[in-house]
Amino acid sequence: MLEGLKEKKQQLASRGIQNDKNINGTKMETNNFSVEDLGESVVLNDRNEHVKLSTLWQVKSAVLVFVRHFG
Amino acid sequence: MFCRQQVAELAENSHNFNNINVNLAVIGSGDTRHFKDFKKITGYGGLLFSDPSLAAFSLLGFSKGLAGFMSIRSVFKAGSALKQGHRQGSVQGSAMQLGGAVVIDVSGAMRYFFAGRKAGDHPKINELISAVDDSQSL
Repeated sequence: MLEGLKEKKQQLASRGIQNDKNINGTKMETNNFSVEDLGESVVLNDRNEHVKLSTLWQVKSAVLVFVRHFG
Repeated sequence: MFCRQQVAELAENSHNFNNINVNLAVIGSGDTRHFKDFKKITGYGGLLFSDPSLAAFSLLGFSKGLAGFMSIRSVFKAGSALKQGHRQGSVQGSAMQLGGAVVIDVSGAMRYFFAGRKAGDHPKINELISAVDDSQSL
């Protein structure tokens, strides 16, 4: 059983997930994206400047909350 | 109203995020012209960004479309949000796009992933903080 858990954790780590208890739901729902790809995504700040997402976790951890809209 | 409620909750807990030394960022998809009003309404004073192309939302696999828009549970959540005084304003961004959250540490490892399944599904604040705590205690 321990071997099974270890194997699962290794699989998750390879996809960028380090702690499976923090995935909501019971199924993998991460769309197989890589954090590197996410980090390359560019968003706009309040001055309409382009900001690469990876800059948000360069110095300290980042909590990114995606909302449906600003309404 | 769900977004206002969610971001207002983040604003109320901003000191908790400051205490754990983390970059808290809210990312929507509307025009950046609306940032000022949105911050005023929600009381959120932190990092705010827009992803108008929804590229990051799409990469993360967050649901989009009518199927995820509303449910019976969402209606009850709407009632709760209204009770708390979070009214629906004019929608700035994609109403059909659901949100979520991720926590990523400085090594680039993802410590937390949450994808909303229906409108009104939000990540729990204590889970976000706990995920950061876990990553910092390693």
